[in-house]
Amino acid sequence: MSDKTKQLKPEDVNGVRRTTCSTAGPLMVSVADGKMIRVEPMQFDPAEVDSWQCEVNGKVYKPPLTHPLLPWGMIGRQMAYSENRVRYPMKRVDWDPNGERNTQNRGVSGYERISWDEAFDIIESEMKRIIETYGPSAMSEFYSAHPEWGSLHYFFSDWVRFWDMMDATHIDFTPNSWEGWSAGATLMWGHWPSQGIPAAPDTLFDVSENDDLIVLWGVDPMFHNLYGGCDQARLWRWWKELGKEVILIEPLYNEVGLGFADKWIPIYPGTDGAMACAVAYVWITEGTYDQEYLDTHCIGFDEEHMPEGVPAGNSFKTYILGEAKDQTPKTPEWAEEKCGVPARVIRKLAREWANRPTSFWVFTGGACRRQFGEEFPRLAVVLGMMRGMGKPGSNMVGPFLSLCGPFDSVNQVGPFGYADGGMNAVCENYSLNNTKQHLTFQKLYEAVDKGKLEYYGGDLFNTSAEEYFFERKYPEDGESEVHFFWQRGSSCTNPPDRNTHLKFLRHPKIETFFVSAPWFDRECRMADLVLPTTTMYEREDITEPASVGQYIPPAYIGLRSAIYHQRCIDVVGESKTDMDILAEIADRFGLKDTYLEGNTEEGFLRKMLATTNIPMSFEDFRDKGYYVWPAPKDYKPNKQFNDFWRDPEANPMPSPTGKVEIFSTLVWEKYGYNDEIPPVPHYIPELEGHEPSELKEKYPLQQLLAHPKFRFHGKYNDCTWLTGAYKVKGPDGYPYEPVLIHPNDAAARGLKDGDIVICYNDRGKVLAGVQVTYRMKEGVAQLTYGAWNDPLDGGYGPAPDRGGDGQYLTYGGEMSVHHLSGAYNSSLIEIEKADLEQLAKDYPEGWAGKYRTWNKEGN
Amino acid sequence: MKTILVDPSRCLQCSNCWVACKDEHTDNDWSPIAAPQTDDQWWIKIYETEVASGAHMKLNRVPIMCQQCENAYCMEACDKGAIYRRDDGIIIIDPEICSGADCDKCVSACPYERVFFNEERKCAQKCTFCAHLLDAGREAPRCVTACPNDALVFVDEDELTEENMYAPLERLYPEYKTNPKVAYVKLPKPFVAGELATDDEQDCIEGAQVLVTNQVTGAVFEGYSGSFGDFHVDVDKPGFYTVTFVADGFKRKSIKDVDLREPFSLDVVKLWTLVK
Repeated sequence: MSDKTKQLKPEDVNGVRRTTCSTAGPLMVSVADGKMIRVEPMQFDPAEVDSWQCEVNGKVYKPPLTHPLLPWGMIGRQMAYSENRVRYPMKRVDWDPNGERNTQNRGVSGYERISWDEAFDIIESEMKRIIETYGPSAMSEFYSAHPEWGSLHYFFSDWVRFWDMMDATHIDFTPNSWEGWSAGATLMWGHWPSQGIPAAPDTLFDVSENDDLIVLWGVDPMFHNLYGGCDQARLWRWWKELGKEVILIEPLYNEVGLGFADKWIPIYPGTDGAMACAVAYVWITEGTYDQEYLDTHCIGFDEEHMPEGVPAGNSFKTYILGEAKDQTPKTPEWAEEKCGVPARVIRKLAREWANRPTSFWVFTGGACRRQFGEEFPRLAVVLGMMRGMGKPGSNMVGPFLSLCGPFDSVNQVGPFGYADGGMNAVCENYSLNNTKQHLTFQKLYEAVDKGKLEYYGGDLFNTSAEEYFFERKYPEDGESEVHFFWQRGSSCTNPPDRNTHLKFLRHPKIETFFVSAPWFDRECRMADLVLPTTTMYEREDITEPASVGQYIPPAYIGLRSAIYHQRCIDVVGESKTDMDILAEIADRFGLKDTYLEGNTEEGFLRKMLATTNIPMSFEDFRDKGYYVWPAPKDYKPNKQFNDFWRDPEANPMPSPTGKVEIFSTLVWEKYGYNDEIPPVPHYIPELEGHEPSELKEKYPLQQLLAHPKFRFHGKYNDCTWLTGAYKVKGPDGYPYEPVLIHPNDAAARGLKDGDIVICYNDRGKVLAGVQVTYRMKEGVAQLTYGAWNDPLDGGYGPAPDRGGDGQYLTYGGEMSVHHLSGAYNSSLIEIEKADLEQLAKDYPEGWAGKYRTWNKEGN
Repeated sequence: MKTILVDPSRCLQCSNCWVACKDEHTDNDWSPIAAPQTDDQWWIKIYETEVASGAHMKLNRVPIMCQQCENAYCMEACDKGAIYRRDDGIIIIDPEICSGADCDKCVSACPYERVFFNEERKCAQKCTFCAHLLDAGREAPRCVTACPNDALVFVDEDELTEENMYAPLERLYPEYKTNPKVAYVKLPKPFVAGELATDDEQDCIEGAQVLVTNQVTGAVFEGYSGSFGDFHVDVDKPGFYTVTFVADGFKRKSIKDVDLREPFSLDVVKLWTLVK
């Protein structure tokens, strides 16, 4: 037995407790001797919590006191001190801002350490040179949509403020988490703050109290997964205890399905629209839908409710019954041939749905991120309308940031979300950008290479459905092509068709490419200058867990709280906050006061707290680290679409007619009848999809690009605490990214579990480790995105990416004539066994790791 | 005395239990309770097994950590006296006594494969129920606190009574005769699954009774088909079974010699309409 004198003291074990919040949820961090010794989920003291609750059949649900985290919640110690941290400014060795830039060597050559002074001098002289040579619009900026959690320290705060002040060209995201909803559903029920996805207030109570059936169509609410998800686990279990039936429709038997579904209906990707049409067919032919609601709340369902001047035969009902141009009734038997779901199952689904109050989980998801991806969301809207959307029990929900418990944003004013502007919300002035030119991230290579681009709008900052029709051009009159590109965060949102994106990043016209990031991953490996930034453990902030703000309205099912990000540790290496880096540059342009208005980090945070009505002084809040709101008093729930359901005239939709336009007047006016975006939604087979084609014969498997369970998009691919659970160890010891395939597809190719394979199509090749599973629909292969790149030939030739990034294979083209992109789930691939020994021989340098994302030295 | 109650049916393989364990024990020296864990050690691990086939497949996920056995083979195997049981029943491998060990007898003695050998420190290591945290006044081991779905719960052993339990109490591999302290409910069982359709495959058959009879013991297990005709009936032990379907308006059907030594899917089973 050990010497008693060596027993641990409680204070040594516990350390000092700090608080912060991550993309996985709020955290408590134990610190001792300046180091983190423990990262835990936030645990609220029951004595200080006045919780809301939901009671049904005498059974009670209360949100958990310990916040359930997403898988990367507690990896902070491995990641903050990771070997892959950027610890000091680095310059690519063969990038000489005064000489040869060697843009072709991005991703190949290594990096040398430089001082911050040298780095700032380079940044200053490069920006001044660019402005003098081309004008400010030649500077462009972009950011990872998935950085560390924050509000003051977030791109909507420090980043947009700086670059708008500098008149840079903004690179736009498209709303690529819910692309088809944004491009399609907006045409029916208008824009909404979430671009096509209406808020779902008070749905937690509606589902709990009123629904008997829950249909999950192409969504995994727990592991989708953004900022929340695991916090639903106990809620799903409670719903099951209450006897609710859960049905999952998906090509993958997803996690919520495995955990809670009574029935999994496997479906071919991209054929959801066919099944939706057949459900509508059953309801129409059996008369089991809400005709009165459609008559008063919608236009275009039947010939009796069409806008004036539209020729007969253009209603939805006409299309479904086979009385329109295609003369094809959309029967369950017709759908079975397309989607692979037996007609009896489709018919039964339609009947169950019609007979019982049903919660329809359908927003976002892979079914909307594909060719003609506007159509399924539009069809889903019609199904919602046919069920009288808004009446008790009739709701539509999404997999994340959608389901909502009681949320009183009027009397409980919190710090709200990351899109609420951070420092901009408390500054006196904002310098509007004088450069009107934008550029979409979906077409960067094409735009830069050709030097011009004409496209229709459709981006993350849209404010109306009509903006999809706006004509945009690059460069704008009087403005410059971009020659300077700075990205905040190392892993941008994983653009499709990686090889094309690499060509953009290596383009000689991009004379300067900077990345500021905490970790040396993804795009860092392509940058000319890499600047170290802090993680949320190294800076202070005020946030509200899982609150996005503005463009995604409140949707929280936990105990609502506000978190003070206490500084847990000193900065790692020489890292700085983005704000401090940008403030220094602003200073060199004489704009520091314009940028910061004399505020410090603490000054901003004091002002940000003052915009809330949290009943704590700044000092108390900072010291304690969090505030938990009590259950809202005298709370009046106003369920999603309830007002519209009761009185559509007094509560119109934000659509041209104020009704839900099953027949879209916007589409009709813009396109007339166009096969790619007809005025009433259709099932349109994908060109690169399940239905037979020449390409399908060559590449017979549909790639499924679902969210990675154990990565936050492109982050944490190097966290061995997580990779140990999912990567497939090859015979060479390399941790390969998994590819999931059905046993029949494996057998047809002579593959078995654990084999290392090449997944390929005309766009690229990647290596992956086979996981044979019945969780996949036959004919579908899940190869997800966000794995760090390790191209065996540096990404110049035909060699595969050993890292297994599924985006090498994805389709980067248009969704339809209506929207410029977002169709990356429409990708066909083939898989065959890899000859690792031959690859090692053919590409010795690459095999040894020369081009790896995480190889800073480039040797 | 407290123990962990594990319900594998609730496990989502979300990673929080083992990441919490890694966080607590990697690069942290909690001697004399535990030396730092190395990257290749998984003191708690979720064993995943895919069973049955098609859309009726099931993914079994069983979290396994040191079972804190009453009959602890690791203790018996250690001839240095490095492994001891605390008053609260938690078994500890003393990192100092074990350090520089030239044997790994306890590693191979553990039938649950939850004792690990640290090659750097030359010592054996395993889950301690986070005894250092319990001693410091905390209520539960890290893995339990982190679990979002109560697949792991820290409970008083005295409370594991029939009236308190929502399912029969089980132990992991009782055949090892280790008499573990860690408790389980709803461990994966053999089952038969499938879906019932009418003979013309035009409709699903809901509400049919499904009787699954062990052909040796005669034990009968019962279930009903759901909305889509799906059925899933657990049995208590591997063996051969007769599966009988009874539904109003349909001919009774029995499928014999169904091999449930492993879970099995009958896929689509058709029932014929009774001729009036």
